[in-house]
Order: sequence, then structure tokens, then C-alpha cells
Amino acid sequence: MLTSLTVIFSILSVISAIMCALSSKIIRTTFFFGVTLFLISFVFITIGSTMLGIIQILLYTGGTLILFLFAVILTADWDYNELSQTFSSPIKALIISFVFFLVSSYVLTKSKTMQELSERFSWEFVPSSESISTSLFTDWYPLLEIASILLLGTIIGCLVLLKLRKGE
Amino acid sequence: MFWILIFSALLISSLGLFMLLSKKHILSILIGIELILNGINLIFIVVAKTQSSFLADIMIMFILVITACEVAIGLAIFILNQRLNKTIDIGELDSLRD
Repeated sequence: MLTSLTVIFSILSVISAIMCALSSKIIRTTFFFGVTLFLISFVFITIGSTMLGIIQILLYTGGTLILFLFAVILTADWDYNELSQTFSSPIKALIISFVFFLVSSYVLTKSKTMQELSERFSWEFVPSSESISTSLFTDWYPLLEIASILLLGTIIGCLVLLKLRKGE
Repeated sequence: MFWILIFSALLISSLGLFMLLSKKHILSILIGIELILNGINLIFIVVAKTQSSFLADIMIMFILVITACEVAIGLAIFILNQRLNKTIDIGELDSLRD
């Protein structure tokens, strides 16, 4: 049951990402991006990382998507009408991304380490939120502090940027 | 299952790379970067499952923080560019220096 759900969610997330890349209107791109994020968090939940999936839905999908929607609303009159107008050099980008996919797939499938890892993939291990939180606040607290300083710096940076006027 | 998830993650990252390289709209480019990072997160968590480790969960939380910061700064630059230069095109972004 969980296996088939994971496969369905991962395939749907790829389809949603394709729709995201091929939408002409930015509001549709943002919508499909949100759907992709939701589906990826469902994949996280079905493979056992429940806490991470919920964090992704609450903070990332919620926070980031709202930021994107605000930007779309603030610039509602500025958008492209046709798909061809949204691209600058699509053929070059398509070739580069296709080569990236082929090379990374080839390297990963031929890698002995990855083949060994694939045999050890298990559904049994489900990390508890208690163990993750304990590790976060004991082993990783310097990184947690750095993250909070980074967020503070971002808030100040955004405020400074948005107060800029022409000629300043 | 392992390979299905890895290939899905690679496809999502490739689509993100395609958006990053081909789109003109700054928001689409930011969404492309987000898709790349989401694909990487998925690979991270799948590989961690083989090691029975929750280290990937913690690392992904920090990646989410960095992504949120990047999106906030990116959107601030996008709105600034739209307000000052009256454009949403990435090609006009260098005129913000003036």
C-alpha cells in the first residue's frame, strides 16, 4: 500500500514539475510549484520521514508559496501572454538539462556504492521527532544558531533592498 | 523503489535546471532553483533511508532555511527591479546598478 502510494506521489510530482516548467502564466507556474512541493512532502511522509514532511508542508510550502503569491499579486499586470515569450533560449536549456539527467543517471546507476545502497533501502526505519529534536538541540546547535542569524540577516537585507529608491 | 525515487528526484532537478536556464521571468527562475533543491532533498532522504540515519532529516531542515532566505532575497530583488525598471525580465536586472 505504502509502496504504491510512494510511486504514485513521485510520478505525480514529476508530472507537476513538468507542468510547472511548461506553463506560460506565472500564476499557473506558482500553482504547479505548490502542488509539486505538496507531493514531495507526501513522498517524505510515505517513506517514513513524517516530521520532515510536515515541516515541508507547514514552513516551506506554506511560507515560500505565500511569498511567491505575494510577489505575483504585487506584479499582477506584468506577465507574458504566450509560452514562447517566457523562454529566452529553450533548445540550449533543454539540451543541457537532458545531458545533466542522462549523465547523472548513468553515473548513479553504474556506481557500485549506489547499487549496494539500493539493496539496503528499508521502510522499517522511522526516525522519531524526539530523537531528531534532541540531536538538533545537542549535536547541531551551532548550526541552528547560524540558521537563526542567517534568517535575521535575510529580514534586514530584504527591508534594506525594498527601501531603495531610484538613484540611491 | 529506491531507483524510482532517485530517478524522480533527478527528473525534478533536471526540470528545475531547464527552468533556471531557459525562463525570462525572475519568479520562474527562482522556482527552478527551488525544484533543483527539492530534487536534491529527495535524493538525500532516500540515501539516508539505506543507512537508517536521521541525519538527512536534520540537513534538509537547514537546506529549507537556506532556501527560504534565498527566496526572500530573490523576491525582494524581483520587486525592486519591477518597481525601478518596470520589467520582470532577468535580462534587465543589471540596470539595477545604475
